[in-house]
Amino acid sequence: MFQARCSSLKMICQKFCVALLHWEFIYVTTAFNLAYPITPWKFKLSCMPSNTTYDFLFPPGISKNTSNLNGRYEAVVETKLNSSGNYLSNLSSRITFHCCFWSEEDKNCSVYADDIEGKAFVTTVNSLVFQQTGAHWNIQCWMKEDLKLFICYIESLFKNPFKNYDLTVHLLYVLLDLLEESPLLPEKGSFQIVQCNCSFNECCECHVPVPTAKLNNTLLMYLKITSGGVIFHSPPMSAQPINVVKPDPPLGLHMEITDTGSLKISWSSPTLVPFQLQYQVKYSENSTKNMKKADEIVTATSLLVDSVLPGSSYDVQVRSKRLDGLGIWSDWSTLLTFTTQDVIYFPPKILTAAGSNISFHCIYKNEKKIVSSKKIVWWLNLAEKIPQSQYDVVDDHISKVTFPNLNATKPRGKFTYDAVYCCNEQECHHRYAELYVIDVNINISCETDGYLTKMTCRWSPSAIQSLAGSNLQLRYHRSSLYCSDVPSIHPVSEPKDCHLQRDGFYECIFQPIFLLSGYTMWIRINHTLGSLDSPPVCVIPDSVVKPLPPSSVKAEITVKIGLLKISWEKPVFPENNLQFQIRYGLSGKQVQWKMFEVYDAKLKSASLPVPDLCAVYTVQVRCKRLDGLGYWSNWSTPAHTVVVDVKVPIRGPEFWRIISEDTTKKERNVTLLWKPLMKNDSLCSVRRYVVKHHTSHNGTWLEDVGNHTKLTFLWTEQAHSVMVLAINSIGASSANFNLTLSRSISKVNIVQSLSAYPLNSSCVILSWMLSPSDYNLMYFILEWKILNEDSEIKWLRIPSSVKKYYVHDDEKHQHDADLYVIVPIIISSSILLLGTLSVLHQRMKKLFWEDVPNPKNCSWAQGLNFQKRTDIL
Amino acid sequence: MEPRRDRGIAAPAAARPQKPIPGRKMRCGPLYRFLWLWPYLSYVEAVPIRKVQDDTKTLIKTIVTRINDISHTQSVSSKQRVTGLDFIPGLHPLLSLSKMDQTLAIYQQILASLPSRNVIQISNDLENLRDLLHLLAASKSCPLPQVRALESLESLGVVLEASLYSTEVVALSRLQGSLQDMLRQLDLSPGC
Repeated sequence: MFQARCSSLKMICQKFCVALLHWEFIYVTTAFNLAYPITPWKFKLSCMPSNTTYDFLFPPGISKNTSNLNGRYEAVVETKLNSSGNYLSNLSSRITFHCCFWSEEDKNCSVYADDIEGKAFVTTVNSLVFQQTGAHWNIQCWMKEDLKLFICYIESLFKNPFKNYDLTVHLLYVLLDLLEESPLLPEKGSFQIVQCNCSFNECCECHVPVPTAKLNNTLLMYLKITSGGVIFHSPPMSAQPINVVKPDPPLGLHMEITDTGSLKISWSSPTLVPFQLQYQVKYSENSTKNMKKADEIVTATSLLVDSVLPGSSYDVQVRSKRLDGLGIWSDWSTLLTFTTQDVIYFPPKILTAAGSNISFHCIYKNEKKIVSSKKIVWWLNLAEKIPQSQYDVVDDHISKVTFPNLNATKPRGKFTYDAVYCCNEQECHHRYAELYVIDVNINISCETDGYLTKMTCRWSPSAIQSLAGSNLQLRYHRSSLYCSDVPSIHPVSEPKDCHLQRDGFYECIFQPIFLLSGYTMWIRINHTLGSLDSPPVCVIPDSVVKPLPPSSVKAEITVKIGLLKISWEKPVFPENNLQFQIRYGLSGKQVQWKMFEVYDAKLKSASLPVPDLCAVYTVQVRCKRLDGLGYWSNWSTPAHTVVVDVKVPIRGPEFWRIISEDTTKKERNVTLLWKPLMKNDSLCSVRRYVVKHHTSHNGTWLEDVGNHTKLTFLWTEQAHSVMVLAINSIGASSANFNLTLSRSISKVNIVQSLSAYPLNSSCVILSWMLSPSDYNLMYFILEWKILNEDSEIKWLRIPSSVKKYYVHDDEKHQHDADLYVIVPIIISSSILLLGTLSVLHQRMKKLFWEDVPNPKNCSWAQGLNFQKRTDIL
Repeated sequence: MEPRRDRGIAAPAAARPQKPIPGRKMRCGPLYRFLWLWPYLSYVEAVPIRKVQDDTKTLIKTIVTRINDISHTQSVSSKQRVTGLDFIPGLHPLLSLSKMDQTLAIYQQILASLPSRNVIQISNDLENLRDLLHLLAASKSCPLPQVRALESLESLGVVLEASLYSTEVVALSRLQGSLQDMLRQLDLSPGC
């Protein structure tokens, strides 16, 4: 019966081979549920010629005509022989190869044939049969962790007689829809083919893209391997991609000693995988005390190993796999070895903020023996011993030192940390812990623009620039309205982009803004050693507004009133009440500003008294919220006053008379001379001078002199009164000097001698002697000029009691005494006066008599342009 | 644009009441103690609420001025009636706090849909203004209900696509009018 079945099998195989020769490898009738399931992701493919006898190897009790061995594996046919090649040289030109899958776990290999009716016929044999004479490949298939690519890796086995031939591999696959998973295989045409990349060492890799939506579908495929002119077709194999996911090995394997003295093994997943992973950690400890190996499975990306010992080495490898569902372990990560030093500090480095408290721990191993923690002493920078009051004994081996209320580290050269040493009494190991203390008090100041749309915050990193490798980031949290009393760092915060400016400050712009929200901000200092936060500040944009400067600023000296009037328009924003500051001063290169403040928000102008109504004033205005919040605006663009006539001249010009008498004709000509009115008196210009005459005979008449300052007229009557009026655009001077010419007046000659002595380059002292006389002198008139220069004659009025006088010329620096010509003119007593000089207005009279020049200073008359004359009186 | 935040309101640092505020989150105590403390509490409370009131009025004026500053809204005639924009609230001289909040919420939704850059700031201002109104309402023990998205605004996208200019101009113009009404109403101590 066994033989009958065997011969029947042979016959079926032969028929099937013939059919395949006709149909060229069509797998159209193979039962789908016979496809080899890739649950062992590593398996083997073995093929052998069909004439190989393996019947005797069938294991007892296995049915030989079972059409479906639970779908676990199946065999398929292979064919098409090329006669080339040593191995094949002894084979007939058409030999059928039987291929099957098997694995290390299940070495049963089933071969497949088809009977005439197309029914599957499966026979199970031990794989050893194939290993004797067939061709063999190792196959690994898995889904990449990105869930996009299915990979099959094919490798020729060393014993493979086809190994030395060129290898070409194709993978034919079809992704069955979930509903299509019928027992029958799909049509041949529905298979897609990919060519696998083969390398010189007979390894091939086949890539099958899998859409994300079809990860749960069944991937049906078979291999077409061409080697040595023979084409081998694998049996169909099937897999659900989601069940054969093989992650990449974990990256960034790292070991460090934690603050608590444990060994922390950490790693990271290579990419963001869309599923949870579990990890297997394999590590071994090799210390003087013991050898320890361990193997742990964790879901976190780190593992703590207690009681790390100094002078030990730790070898670690990690691999990963899907946490839920089926999956394949990744390859092991690269082996990492970590060796602990003889002195272990934990933490080895600390970054902290000034004012904080921190602690270091230490285990000290000295010549294969761990030092008792009671013998450990701590030093700072190898310069100062840390007081024992700061030590703590944690256990027999671990010592702890605590630094309270730390001050910021002062960099010493390139060293920006304090070196903390754990020592065995008098002996310190060269290794040390590093302590970085940073002053994190970073001031953040903000300013909202005048349009209330943008808030600019600035801060300087200068205090923490010494910490290399750190980066700073402004973070903030916005509360809906206002700030709290004590700003605090909110767990939910956002970073803000800031840009370094030329002045070394960072500038961060919030735009648009929430005017009344509270922006709590702080600077986060990120460093590999950790991160620190500066004390938070809270700013309400509405409270830090810098308004736009007032606009339409105008300045004028008000006509007839004589005040400096400044007007302005408040800026559009803010809508709060504003206060204003006005600064004003005489125009010039360096304006001496005077300030005036306006606290009435409704005011749009202010009038200020100024000493000089006829000068050009420069005025600027700025504003700020009346409640004091925010900043002063910039000063407005300057406005300038224009000099115009403000009032009628305060008084007419002061004048003198010169009488020239022609004895032959018995006529007297009177020449009136006067000083041109200064701006302060003319307010502010003189259009012309008018001389007002009065005689008893002719009455009063006016004589227009224009801009001249001299007038000569014929004195004919006994008494002749004259008055010089100054006239500007407003009108004639209201207070004027009046001179009455009388026949009884005569010339006074009283100065007997006059001496001049130069004191320095710009000052000359004068003294004079008077002749004895009964004159009651009113004052002297001094006329002087600088010789050899095109300067004008200057006049000085000197009180009659003065005996010497200093002539001072600030404008000249280098004059010899002989350059000065002093011409003393003595004006007679009141009796001898040619006329009576009187001030009509009582106020102006007072001004006149009090305006006596101080001999020690420049005379009031300096700078006046008198007409040059050769004789007086 | 900056993401919206929670509705956490921090009391003004300068004027935070030191005692529980009646009608706000006051822990219920004996009535007589409350009556005895009332004059003091109302005095303490007056300072922050006055600040809130002042800030509310100032913010309204600010928004009105902002709209004035948008050039294309200045030339719009108030005499011409624009149809088809009924979802934009009109003028209501008598407004309660809840009605004000509801009106502002609609405007905020509309402004958020407008692409113009300068309305983003106004939209932010409206959010602050609504927070202030909530604070005022809380001080009067009348909590404002949460405003839901209005169904009528579902068609806003269609209208915007066809009549962006009209929508922006009318919305800003009506918002300005509504704000001026609110400003007047706030002086009259509006009800809940």
